[in-house]
Amino acid sequence: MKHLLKRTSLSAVLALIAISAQGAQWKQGMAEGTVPIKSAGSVAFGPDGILFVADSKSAAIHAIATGDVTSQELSQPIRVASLDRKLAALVGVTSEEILIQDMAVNPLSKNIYFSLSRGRGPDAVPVIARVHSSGKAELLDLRQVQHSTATLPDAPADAEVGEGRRRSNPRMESITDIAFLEDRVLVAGLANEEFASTLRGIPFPFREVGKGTKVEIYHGAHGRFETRSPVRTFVPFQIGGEPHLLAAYTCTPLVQFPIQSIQPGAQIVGKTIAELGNRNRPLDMVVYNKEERTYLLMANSSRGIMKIPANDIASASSIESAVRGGASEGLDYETIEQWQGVDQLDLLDERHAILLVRADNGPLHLESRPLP
Amino acid sequence: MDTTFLTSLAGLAAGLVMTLQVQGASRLEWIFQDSSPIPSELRLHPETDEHEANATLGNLENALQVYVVEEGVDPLSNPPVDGSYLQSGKVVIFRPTYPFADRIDYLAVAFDGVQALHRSSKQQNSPVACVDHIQPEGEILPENLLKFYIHFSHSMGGGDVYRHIQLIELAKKKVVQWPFLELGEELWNQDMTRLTLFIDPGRIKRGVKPLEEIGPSLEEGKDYELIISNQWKDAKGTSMAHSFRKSFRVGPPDRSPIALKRWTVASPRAETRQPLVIHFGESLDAALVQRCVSCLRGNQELEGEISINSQTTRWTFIPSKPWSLVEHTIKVHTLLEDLAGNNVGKPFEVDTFAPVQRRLESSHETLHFTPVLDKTP
Repeated sequence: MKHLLKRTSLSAVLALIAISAQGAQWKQGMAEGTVPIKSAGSVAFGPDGILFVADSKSAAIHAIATGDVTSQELSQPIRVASLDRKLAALVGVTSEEILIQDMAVNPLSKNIYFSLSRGRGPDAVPVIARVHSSGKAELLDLRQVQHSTATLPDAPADAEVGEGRRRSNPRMESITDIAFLEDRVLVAGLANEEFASTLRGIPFPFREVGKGTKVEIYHGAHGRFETRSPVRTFVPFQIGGEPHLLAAYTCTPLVQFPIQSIQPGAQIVGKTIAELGNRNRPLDMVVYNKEERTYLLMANSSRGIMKIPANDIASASSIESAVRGGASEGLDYETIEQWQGVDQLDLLDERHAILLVRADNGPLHLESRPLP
Repeated sequence: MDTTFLTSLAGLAAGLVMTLQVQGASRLEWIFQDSSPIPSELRLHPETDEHEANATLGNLENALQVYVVEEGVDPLSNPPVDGSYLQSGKVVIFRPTYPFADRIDYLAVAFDGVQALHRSSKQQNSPVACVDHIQPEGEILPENLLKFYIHFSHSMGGGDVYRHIQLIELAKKKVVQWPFLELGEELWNQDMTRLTLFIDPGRIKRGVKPLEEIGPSLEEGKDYELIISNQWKDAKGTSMAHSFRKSFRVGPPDRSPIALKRWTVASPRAETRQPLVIHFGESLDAALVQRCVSCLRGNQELEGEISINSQTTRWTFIPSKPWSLVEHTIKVHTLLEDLAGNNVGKPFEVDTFAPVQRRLESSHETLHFTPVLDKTP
């Protein structure tokens, strides 16, 4: 009996080690302390409750181990009225004094995280808040938490510029979107002087600069041509078990890239699958499955919410020439009329989306809705 | 129970504190440091002795909470202000995670119902900020203009900039719809005194490619006005002193790359600190011209003072040390743009219909000049 127990406990211990080793693998390189964050913009979740935060002011991405790793299923709809007012109250101000930057759902716990700035001037303070499915809001303490940081190097074209003489206005870049993909963080950025948009991949766990960290820089290309148009938002998704990436550009089309083509230093050659016209102003994109079909849901500041069937993406013909006449070409899309005033959109679980909605210039409400 | 209500007014600089004092109940005290009108912390003085206080208070968070007060909103409908609690003797101290803010009222509520309202000074600052200038400063701008830089006199507030910017086509008095690239992350410099405004590249006429749906933002031959509203608040939350209008006419598109051979260089006199002057022959991007042009002797970049005229057609360099009589190099990074985004040797195109190539190399072009000897006796 004792013998049996011993063996059982050993396998239990081994199993435990295996689990914690896997968790520990993602937290490699992290240290406990204050996150050196100067601004909080795009946010995205990685594995194990790790939250990535884009910090344009520091030109860096922070990985924060939130410790929020308990799996939960949603039992009721979420509705929090005047969320902006509530988040503002937590940081001691009224809603005019904060700016909600981005929203991301922890796929494990279904808790909803927000990046915001307290203040609107150059001294604005970055804040990360978490809203539970119960509606309770709290702040993430950034002073004592496990984290690591990756600094974005300047794109090679800038390495030489400004050498020697100090520039009064150092080159700055705004990070427009980030996403975690398998083993790296993808970062889309736009410079604030030259018209240069970048798409970079930073291997995660982050390694110290100088120890061979290679930040991969991709040039977006569709078909025969390369675009310098900035990537506004992107989302990974599966087609027939194969990982792909969908990217929405600001004025050119919706492009799909197979993940295999994302190789260090290479061009990611994508296939244009939808031309959405020059009023396209994508905000957020999510991919979901419903009744065995795959759909793309895109929040677009000028077109409302668009639902695009993505089932036939693999076989969709590539759009290579300029589109004439019609507003959109390629895949059909449907506008979800009832979803108006959407400020932020994300997947909550397999059957629900979470939205931050503004009613007629009023406060922002957070609510879950069944995916259309 | 006999209760006595005491309302005490304590003026402290610009602050006003009201407390409701109930006999036998705890007392709340807002603490101010260094004669600041904004409280730094809140203290709860229970009216019981320490032992009883600890038993009653239990979890300190339940002992004392602070709420933001906003007109028309029940303060208790919001979560309390986040902060930390500590106990000193029987006194409970609350310190907010983020400092209490100016011009906001706060309501402190103790476990036994005692409340204390901090009423802040609502005095508005007088408007001081304004638009200093907008680049490019010319009166005629190309049809395929790529961007504007808006320069402010003071640090500004962000988050909703596009609401305060309007482009009007003057002949029809029509507001141009969505002419600019609107980003959630706005394109500011570090101290938020300069905003970069890109014309949406999808709205720039491409020559051969027609535009779908809505037309171009700018059309040759037409007059426009760019209006910056004074409703735009500065970093302190105060509106600007006045609005700003820039009128301009749109000329033909510029599709030629920057060509250094079209630049004229006036060589300075050797052994003097006479300025080196370069005329570009066209207006260039005001920010990039400061970063992308430099003067070298051999491999050494020279120290000196650069100045650029308001039309950004002329670059002047006054060296710290007198010119020596050797060949010098003017190094120009090909990233440099003209007003339409054309680079050195390459015209602007958002989509390049050419074989996709790796473009990870950085490059520059050079011009050479030798300072002249003054031959006059």
